[in-house]
Amino acid sequence: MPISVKIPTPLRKFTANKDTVEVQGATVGAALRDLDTRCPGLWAKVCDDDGKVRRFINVYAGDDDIRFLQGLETPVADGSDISIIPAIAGGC
Amino acid sequence: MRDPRHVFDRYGRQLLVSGVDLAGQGRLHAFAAVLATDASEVAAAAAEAAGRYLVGAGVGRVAIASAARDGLQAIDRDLVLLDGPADAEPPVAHYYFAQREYGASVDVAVTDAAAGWREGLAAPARVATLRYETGAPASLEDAVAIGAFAADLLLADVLGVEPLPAIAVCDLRDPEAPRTERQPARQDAAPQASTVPRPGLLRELKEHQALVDAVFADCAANYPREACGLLLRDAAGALCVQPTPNLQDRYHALDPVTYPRTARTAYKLNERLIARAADQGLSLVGIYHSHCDAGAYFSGEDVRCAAPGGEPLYPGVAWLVVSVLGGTVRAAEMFHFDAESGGFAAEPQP
Repeated sequence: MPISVKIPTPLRKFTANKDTVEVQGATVGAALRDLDTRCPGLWAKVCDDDGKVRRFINVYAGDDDIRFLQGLETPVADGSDISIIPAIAGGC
Repeated sequence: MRDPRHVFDRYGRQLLVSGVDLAGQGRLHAFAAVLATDASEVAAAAAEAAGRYLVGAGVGRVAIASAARDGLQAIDRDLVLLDGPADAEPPVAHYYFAQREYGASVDVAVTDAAAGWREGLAAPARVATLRYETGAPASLEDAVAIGAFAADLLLADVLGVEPLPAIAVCDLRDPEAPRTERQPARQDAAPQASTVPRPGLLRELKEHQALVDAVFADCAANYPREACGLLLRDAAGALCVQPTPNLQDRYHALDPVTYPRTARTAYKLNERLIARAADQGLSLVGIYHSHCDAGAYFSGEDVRCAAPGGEPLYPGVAWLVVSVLGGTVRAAEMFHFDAESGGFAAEPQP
């Protein structure tokens, strides 16, 4: 069963305007790599050159930010959801 | 040379220089020396005090004009050097010159430890803040900026004179707004907030006092931490407010390199709450957050987070910024992304 990746509006230009893309992978990182093969350019939007999720992007596995799990090594089960969500942050 | 990080006088008056290693003393010397070159009485007094407070060795010592001398005579000239704040008496006032690395910016915060102590607070209340961009080592302009601020502080606190208007100007200025006489705008700076008028959400929000009250109450209750929340619209078109937790401290604790700020000067919202609101038929129209002891401007950090690379992450969403000074809401401004300028424009006040 594939994994569903939810795509935020600003990144849908990489997905032919689809809000969800189904991918394969045992971890979040593998799923995002698979997403990049289907929708080239998305990986670079989500992760920096060091392979770390960009500060202004959040990747959720279910309800949890993967930063508080195992990062891109966080395992994902078939049929689960991954959400790419732009951060809402700022400061004075 | 004395370590300037823990200097107290016999009255418990304390000047704490945090995050400065011995190399930082050069900057402090520059601070006092620049003050000394200013001909004003206030700056001369500040130089004298800075020389003793900061390095305890007379750096910046100048002839003090009579009007300033009387005030300064109240300060004991023999500093008592202690090992740390735990050994200090309850401080009368607390100048906290915090040097925190936010890229190339530096904070100079003034706190009132006495007020915090009276109120049983663990941390002193911050009463003023100056933040500005600087390089390392400090430039003459930086030192002048610090010096001018310190002169105001000393005038107000040491000499007992009402603060100069310059304190408020420094206090509330967007640290990353284009500079005027003291520091030119950096060429690589992020797009800045502009003043292009935009109609919209602020006027609508202010037509519903209960919503305004809810936002302001959340901002005041969270002080001295930044508050944040969602402005949502239901299927019938009605606005509603949803305060949300500020997760900044959690992210800071997890990764202080990527998230160097705490909730005192930053916010991070749980973005999943937007999806949950959508499940209830509520659409996101705005995001609010507070600035503690700072103005209601759309800061460089706000711009970078809302539109990294000049591209808004939440197109069409408005940003309400609430200024909270000393725990009291003072101002609020609504900002919209302006595609033409690539920056954020303040909506005119209704």
